[in-house]
Amino acid sequence: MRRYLTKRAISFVPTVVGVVFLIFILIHLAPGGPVSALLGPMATEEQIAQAEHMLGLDRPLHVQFLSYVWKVLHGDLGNSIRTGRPVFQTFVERIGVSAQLVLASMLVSVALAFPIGIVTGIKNRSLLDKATMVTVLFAVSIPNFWLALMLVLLFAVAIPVFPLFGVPLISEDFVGAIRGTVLPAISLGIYYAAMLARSIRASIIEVLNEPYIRMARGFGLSNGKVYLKYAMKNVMIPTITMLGLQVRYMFGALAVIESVFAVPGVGRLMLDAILTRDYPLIQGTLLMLALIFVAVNLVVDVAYGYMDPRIKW
Amino acid sequence: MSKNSKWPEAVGPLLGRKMRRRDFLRWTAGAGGMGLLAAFLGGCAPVATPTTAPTTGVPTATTVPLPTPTKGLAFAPELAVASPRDADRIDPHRTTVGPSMWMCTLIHDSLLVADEEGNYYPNLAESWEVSEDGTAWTFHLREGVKFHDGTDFNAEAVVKTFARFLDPETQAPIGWLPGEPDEYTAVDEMTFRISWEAPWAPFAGFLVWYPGFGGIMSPTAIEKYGLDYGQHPVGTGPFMFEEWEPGDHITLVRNPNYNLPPGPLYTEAGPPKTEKIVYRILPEDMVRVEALTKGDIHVMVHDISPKDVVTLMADPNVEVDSFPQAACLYFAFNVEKPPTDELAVRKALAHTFNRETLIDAIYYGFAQPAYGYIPPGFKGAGYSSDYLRDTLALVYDATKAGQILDEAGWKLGAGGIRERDGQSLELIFWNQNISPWKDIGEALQAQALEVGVKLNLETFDSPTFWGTLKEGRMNCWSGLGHITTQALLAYHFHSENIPATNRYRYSNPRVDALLSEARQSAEASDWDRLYREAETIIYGEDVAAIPLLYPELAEAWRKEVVNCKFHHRANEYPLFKEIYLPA
Repeated sequence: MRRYLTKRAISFVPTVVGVVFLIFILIHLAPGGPVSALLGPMATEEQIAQAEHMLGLDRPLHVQFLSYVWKVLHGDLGNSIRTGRPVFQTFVERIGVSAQLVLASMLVSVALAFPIGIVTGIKNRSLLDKATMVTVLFAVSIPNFWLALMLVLLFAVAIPVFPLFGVPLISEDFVGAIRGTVLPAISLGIYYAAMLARSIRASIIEVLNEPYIRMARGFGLSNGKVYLKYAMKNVMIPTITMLGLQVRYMFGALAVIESVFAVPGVGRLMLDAILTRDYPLIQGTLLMLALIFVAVNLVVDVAYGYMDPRIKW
Repeated sequence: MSKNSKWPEAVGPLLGRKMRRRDFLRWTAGAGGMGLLAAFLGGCAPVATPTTAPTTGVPTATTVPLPTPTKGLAFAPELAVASPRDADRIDPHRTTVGPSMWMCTLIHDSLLVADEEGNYYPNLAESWEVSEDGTAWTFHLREGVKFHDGTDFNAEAVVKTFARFLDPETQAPIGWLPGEPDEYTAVDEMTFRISWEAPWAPFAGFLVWYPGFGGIMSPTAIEKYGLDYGQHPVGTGPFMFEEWEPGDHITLVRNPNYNLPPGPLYTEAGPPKTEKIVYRILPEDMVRVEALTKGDIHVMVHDISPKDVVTLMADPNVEVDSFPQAACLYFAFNVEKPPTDELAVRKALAHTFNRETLIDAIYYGFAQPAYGYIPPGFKGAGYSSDYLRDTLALVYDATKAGQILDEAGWKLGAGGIRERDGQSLELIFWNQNISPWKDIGEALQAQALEVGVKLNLETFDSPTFWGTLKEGRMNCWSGLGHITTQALLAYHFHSENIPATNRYRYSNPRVDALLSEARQSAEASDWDRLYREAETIIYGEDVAAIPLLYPELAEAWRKEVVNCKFHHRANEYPLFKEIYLPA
């Protein structure tokens, strides 16, 4: 296990360097720069040149890249061009509430997907299965911003059970956080619940046709034991892979949900950073998110080992 | 769907193999790996907590008692204001962003103020004199004023503020506004003097129309925070900065020592009535509207879409104020790139666009037709947009547009697009990809097609749009020009600014001379003559651009809020000293 983790830690370095390089190239390829966003439409040539010089944007691209990598290696993600505040501090301030949202959405996703996936998998081709799968297809097709707005109109305006905006951190205001998180978590989680339920259902159907399940039945084991003890274990491998992917997708989808529910999280931070071409903020935020995703992958890989004894670390 | 199909080898049948220790409980524990993730991500949360109040510059604020209520009214302690956008830096010298300027005007005072008619009044300066040749201004400053941090307000503070503004290190986006003074000094403790080689006309406008930009900053704070001042603003204004949780809210508290006498903007002396203003950032339009309707917020500012204005006006509990902003929406030409280098094409398009249709369809009536860039009611602009309309006679007339193009040899071809010598009349039309530009672009495209001109619409996000216009790859574009001072016309049309801000690549020595002369003339009557002549040439003779409309700005608030006022002449500048919400 230790050897495995060491190996993973080493392979992590080229991943990060690759991410830093890619982000750097991509944002510099995008037309328009931070200076035109910063100085507004009425800036003169001299002002633009001066600002670019002060921000170091007039240096050759490779020099800018190397100096950025050097700073990152020393733990300095730089300062936001737009606000002048340190990127790392900005990220740390914003990640908490986003993580809370992603986590809650994962709970929604898991809590809905497992029962639906398992039941429809077992009762394959029944009326219940067909009806549920149509509903699930509907859930997959709903754009999350539309669902978010509908939920707000229904449960914050028409029947005001939940607040219209604002999601406090759970560490600051427990009840407020729970109330505030319900609607965004459903908006974000429903789509993934539907995807996951379909995946679980398909896995169950496949696994239940395996010879070892027939054998287990042949031994006279109860249905519950067959499903939960023998079938689920093999279903969990693709499911966990998918859960790991979902964390990443959810971070990507956060910008919309955070805008609707006025949550000051990393999704909106990224969006604003991109719209104002705030290079250090885009780079720093993406780098930090990449680190989180690498960690999520590690958790997923470690989990495989628990699921399948043949997977060795 | 078989997501697991790529796993057959890894998850092959375990037939005949004992499940050993990895039982059901274990895999639920394995699924609890997600719980690990939870702990990992959740662990970040507490870190964020202490930084929610990153900057507290006002230690005394919370102990201040509320002012004595008048007429038996008690005041609600907190007023919630909602905006879709966050500030960037609350720094008068380092921002062009609306929400930041909004904050700046509440936290800082400027030397002078202006009423809605454009007359100047004392503010931090008790009186002022302008030298006969118009090159020097002397301000006699008000005594007994203190900054929020306790520093005394005096001429030295004004000098330090100007020094910072003019320092190239500050990178002030509107650094040109004070011009290039020869000298700015503290003549004595309470007298400040600033002078230029030649009169600098935009100066007075700068002081009053940009009350945020012209705000005087605490020299102690300038020294202490330097370029980070925007996170810790300290002025003399009616409200003091308390806290800023980026992306969520900004809190201001009343300045209990505020003692500027009543002027044209306020009727009472003394500090504000409202204890606290919470400026909440709610990006989604629908949520903001519902929050105001429900009473979760009290005032709604910035970017209220015309559609929402209609909704809010129908609400009996909501008051809406809609007024023309100091900005002009225009259709502009690159006069160098064929075929818009041809005057006939530009002139024909000046007769093509129907302003009334745009106003009704896109602005729901909340805009006024424009025939010049300078909005109505500018001091000095003795002529109006109507004057230009009548003089230039470049109004909507599709038949005339067709005639002009016919005469120039552009004949209607197949598919309704005009052609000449086998070349069809197609223009590259650049636009921004956000509301309302998308709608405006499509409407203009449809109107041009009616006279046989095809606008090939290409859209970009704002930084790309403004950053690449100067490359001149388009024939035409549409944009919104904020004209808070007439001197801005020089940025648009003076040839010295090609291509950075004169993206029209428009060069006419007569216009250059008029704009330069106006900028250096001290007399308002001269501005009137000079700008009128310049504008007549720009849109009438040369048709470098087509002014289309002055969009209105709207603010909305709940009826129970008292004294909710905005300075109509200076975009959305909040006059909140006397605002309050009865408890």
